[in-house]
Amino acid sequence: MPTYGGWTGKTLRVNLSSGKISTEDTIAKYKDYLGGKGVGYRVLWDEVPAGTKGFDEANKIIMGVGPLTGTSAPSSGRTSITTIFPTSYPWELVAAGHMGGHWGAELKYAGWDNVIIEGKSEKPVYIAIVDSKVEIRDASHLWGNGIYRATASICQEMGPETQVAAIGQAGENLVRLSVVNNAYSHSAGGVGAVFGSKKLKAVAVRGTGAVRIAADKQEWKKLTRYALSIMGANNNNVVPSTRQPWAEYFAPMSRWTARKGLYWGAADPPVETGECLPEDLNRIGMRTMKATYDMGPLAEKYTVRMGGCSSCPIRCHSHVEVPQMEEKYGLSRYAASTCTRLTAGTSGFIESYPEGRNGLAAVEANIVAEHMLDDYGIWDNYHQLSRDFNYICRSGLAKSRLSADEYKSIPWEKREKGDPSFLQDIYRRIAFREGELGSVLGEGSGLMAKLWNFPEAYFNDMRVDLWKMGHPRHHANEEVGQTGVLVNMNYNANIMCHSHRNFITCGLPTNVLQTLGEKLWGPGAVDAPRNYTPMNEAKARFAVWSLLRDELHDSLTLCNWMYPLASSPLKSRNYEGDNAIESKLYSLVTGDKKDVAELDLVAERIFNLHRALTVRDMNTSDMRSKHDTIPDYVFDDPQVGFGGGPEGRRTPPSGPPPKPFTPGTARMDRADMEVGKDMYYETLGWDKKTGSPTRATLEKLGLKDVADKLAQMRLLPA
Amino acid sequence: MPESRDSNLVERLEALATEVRAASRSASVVRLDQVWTGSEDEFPKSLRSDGLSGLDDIALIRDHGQTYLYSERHMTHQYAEAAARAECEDIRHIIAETVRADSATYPRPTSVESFTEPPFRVSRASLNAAVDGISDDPRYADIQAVLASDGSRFLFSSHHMDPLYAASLAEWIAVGSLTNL
Repeated sequence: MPTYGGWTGKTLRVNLSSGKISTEDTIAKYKDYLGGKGVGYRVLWDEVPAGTKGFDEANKIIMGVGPLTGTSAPSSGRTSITTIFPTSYPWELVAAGHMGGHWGAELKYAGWDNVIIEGKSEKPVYIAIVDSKVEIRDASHLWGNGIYRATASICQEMGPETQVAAIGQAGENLVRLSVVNNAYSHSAGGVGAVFGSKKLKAVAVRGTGAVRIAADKQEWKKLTRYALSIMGANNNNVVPSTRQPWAEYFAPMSRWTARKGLYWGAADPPVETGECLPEDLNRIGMRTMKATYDMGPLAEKYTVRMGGCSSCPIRCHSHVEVPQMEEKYGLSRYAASTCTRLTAGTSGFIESYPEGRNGLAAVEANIVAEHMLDDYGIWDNYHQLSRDFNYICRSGLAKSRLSADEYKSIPWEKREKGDPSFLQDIYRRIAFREGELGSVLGEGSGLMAKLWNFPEAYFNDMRVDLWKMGHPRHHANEEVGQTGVLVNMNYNANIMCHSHRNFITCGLPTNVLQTLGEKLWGPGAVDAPRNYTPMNEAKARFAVWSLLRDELHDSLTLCNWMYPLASSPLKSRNYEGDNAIESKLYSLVTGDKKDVAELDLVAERIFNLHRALTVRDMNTSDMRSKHDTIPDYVFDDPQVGFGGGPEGRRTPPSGPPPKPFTPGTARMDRADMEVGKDMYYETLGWDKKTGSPTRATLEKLGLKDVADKLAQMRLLPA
Repeated sequence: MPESRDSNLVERLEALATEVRAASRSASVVRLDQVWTGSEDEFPKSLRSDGLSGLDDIALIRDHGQTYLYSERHMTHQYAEAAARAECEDIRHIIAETVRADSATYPRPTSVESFTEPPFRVSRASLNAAVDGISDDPRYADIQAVLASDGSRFLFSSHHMDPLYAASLAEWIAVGSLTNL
């Protein structure tokens, strides 16, 4: 058998019911699925019966990384946690959370590629991995603690270099909207309660080894430097956010926020982010000053530095010191996070703050929210939790559904005043399922809507921003037209796919994007922003590429918030990135030479397995009408394209509601989207009528056994 | 036959180039008549011809009737255009040409606030005075205003986009994109 680099070759299996700990051969069993989500799907297909729910003992948790994690492949510090998701509604189906941080690399240093967790413990436990030594340890002394204390305690037991992936009280209390965090603030959404259902507090790992790569070291160094040379800033934004002498273009929304006069203000002495020329690879980590991007200009003086994940040069995690947190809220002055977990305070729990979204109260609210989410281990679900709370307040449902006593117990006056300590009350209720409100909010949108009998209008309220199955829209038509809609249709939870978005919002002008897009997918793939044209095959190919690359990244494991590198900041390359970079990294690390088409075929295998699992567990092959749904507001709401989120709603300037394909609107057309589905299914080799994989496609991808099983269940399209 | 350059001219140009490069490193363009004592006609049409090797990074750009120099080693043409424009005393000219460029290039409307930043650095008082009624000036009739829901002001050129489109893009830049992480 050939020996490959990258993989350790060992998959760990831990049975919490029997206590059995065993080792499997990664290469023999899982090489064709790479790692991460790929392995997760294969295990779920092979071992978890159809119809299994998230909290069932038969559900399994697969914490997986791929051959690139633990190497110096840029932005490879990701771990996928695949399981049956308890937030997927009304069917609990396969999905994955993924986290950054350092846990994944440490797992590889310990000599493992994946951890498959099965069964259920009777009492609280944690899994301790120290290289090849694996134990199931008592966690009763940790149970009831938040993630912060649990992490610190385990590090005291196992050593300070231990990487701990833990749940908080939310996961313990089977709050469906809960996370697993490692390194305190790197979250995998949606999986915390599955850990809790198995009485699993944490998986802690210490590794003293290294990852062997197949490549000659000099060749590897050359390739990684090349990858760095074509990378942009966070989300692979390739132009700065302000006009700068070195740049031809700029974009106000770019995450390349570094500039003269912008500082990590709480560093001692303060550090200027300055101008970061794309050729200066030593300053990649300075490009994204994320604290001010997420929280506004006031955050500058609180920013100590930017941090991030193992082997990632981008550093998108803001590390802040906000001294008044201790006295005002009883919380640590130190906080670290990024994106939605650093903006949850201003996403709808409280309508408005004194001095507005960027004022001091708002900044403090975001830090309060970050601590609550990261310590209790609650999943914000891309702000869906905040928007749902906002909805039940403004619709009157909170008042009508709660008992008078419970309603009175909520400190509404704090909410009205814009007092951030309101968040401490609400998040505590959710984490501990206090009262009706605490219980129902943590169930997720789908189940909550059922329990409280939400009106139909909820599902099409753009301020709620729900997509389907209890999860939110995530970069759909408002940014990427039909391609965004097709991407959002596919998963069973928050899609967490950024491939399409990274490309469209990289900051380059439309004509440059169209040239790059034409090379990748054909003419017509890219429209001008908010100036959409009817569907075409190139857009379908763009959607398929986005999804396949997402699966690939979550299996290799690379960060989909950086890759694919379809564009670059280099004028010398006409801003072209390298569509084959993943295959180059994979080939050199593993020694398993695959070109871009061959590696994309592996991704297609993984994606088809996800689809097959969904078909199986929904017990229908009619994905087109039952699964691949699109909310009505995408087509009907005249504000689509003009809404600014929960706070900013703006009607079009004048005249009748703009029709689809009018410049300015993001409204889609139903008939056009049906054409889109046709083209999308055709591109994937799926049956057009049902949107299900055909036998021919499954067999082409080496999934004959899957085709046979689906046929046996009468779930293969005719 | 390549044009021969007298050594005195080459020396003058090299000294000029040093000054221009230093200015470009500081994000500034240099007005030709401030570094060239002869007439503009005497200045080489191109610094890329034989006998001037080593100066091929020095480029010229014209705006509001003036010629400026910059070094392509330290500044892109697009930035040089903006920097040259910023030297104009007519703030409405600065605003209009920038807005037209942004509306045509990306396309997107231009935030009014962005004119307080480099390379323009227009004071808020001057900016407000210039923006108010700008489209009443026939030279700038295409420069229209649009307001996002958070109060941010944007300008766009009606030569390149209509008000509905501009309003949508402005709202996205100012508000929508912030909640669309």
